Amino acid sequence: MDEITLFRGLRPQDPPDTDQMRAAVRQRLAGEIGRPARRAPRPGWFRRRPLLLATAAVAVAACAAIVVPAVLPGGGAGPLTSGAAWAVERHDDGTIEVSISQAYDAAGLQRRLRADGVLAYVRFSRWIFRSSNGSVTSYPAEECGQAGPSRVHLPGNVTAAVFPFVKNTTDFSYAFNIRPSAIPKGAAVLIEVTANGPTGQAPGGFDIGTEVLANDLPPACTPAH
Amino acid sequence: MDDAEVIELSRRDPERFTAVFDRYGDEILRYVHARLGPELAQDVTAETFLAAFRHRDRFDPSFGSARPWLYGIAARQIGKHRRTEIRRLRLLRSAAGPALAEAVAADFSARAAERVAAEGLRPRLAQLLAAMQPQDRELLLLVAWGGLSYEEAAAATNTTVAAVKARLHRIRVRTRSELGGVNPLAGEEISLG
Repeated sequence: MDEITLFRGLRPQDPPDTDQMRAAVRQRLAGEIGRPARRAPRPGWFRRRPLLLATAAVAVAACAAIVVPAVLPGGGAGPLTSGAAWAVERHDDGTIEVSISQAYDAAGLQRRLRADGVLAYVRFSRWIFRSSNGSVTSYPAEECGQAGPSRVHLPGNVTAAVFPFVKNTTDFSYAFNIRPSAIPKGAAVLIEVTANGPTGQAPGGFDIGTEVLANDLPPACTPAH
Repeated sequence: MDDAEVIELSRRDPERFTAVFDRYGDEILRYVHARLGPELAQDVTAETFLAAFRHRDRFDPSFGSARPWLYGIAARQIGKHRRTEIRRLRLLRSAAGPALAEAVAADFSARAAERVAAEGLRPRLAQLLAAMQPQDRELLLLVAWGGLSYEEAAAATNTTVAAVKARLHRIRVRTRSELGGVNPLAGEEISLG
């Protein structure tokens, strides 16, 4: 049985009668649809507020001067695409932003994060496909979950605190933030970036998986150093 | 007339958009009700369709169906009420209900012992759901509660099908791990090696 099915069973029962609620929503929608479109802002707005805009521009410039992070592109031209593979930025609030453009040079990113004080394990892999009971499923090669007792992860709320932002999007923009101060003592983080491989999938996509491991033992699937 | 055509027509004739609500209003309402409960279901569903109407020019007609687009908007509206949802999930940990056992029965012609086992997992599953990263919970519930296909879930969450599969795989692995390393209902373990 698929674990997803177990969660399906948690769905609360539907209300016995939704007619009244549906009618109320429809009425509200119809009211909005029947309303005249909102007027666009008058073009003179910007012209009449030069001082305010100038002040805002100065404020933005000041913030930028304070917040400008050190951008350290990493990796090199890899086998998947060309250009820098990843970049690491440290922000003033203590978070570290990692942008991924290629699943390449995991060891380099791992070293870079450790230099920033994050005990990280990084793994880049491609897809493999397996047929199980007649249905084709796909998952990252060399599943780290088979690495034994080192893969004991901490609860999701800890992961959410350590990785407050993870971006996987179709515009090929992949990034995540790490908050080092939220990593529990003795714990490590595992970052798994899976790239679409030559398996019929659309090229160029990644998935970024983030976990917080309960100990600092290296998972078998990541670089040793 | 498919959804894309209806939405296209609604750009010139806004009244046409009510057809989108007539097609999906009940389904979205029930989904929001499941996520947030009766107090917020009506308002959040209304906000979902109002947002869809206001931003109908952003609908990608190449997908044809508006279903994943609407679920995506609903998910963002639901996300504004995360605390309420977590409170509801905590209630689910202790609430009695036949839904879990029914799902198992429907899926497997489950025997009585399996239904009992499934119902026994309810508190643990609800706890896992509450502790998940928001984007994981969102995806899982779009598939498990919304009944979206992987392709629809990818469209709803603005990601790739590959990313959907990868994330669901991780959720499966983690769930299995949290339940003791095996799926107590399957009687089998899928090899990942």
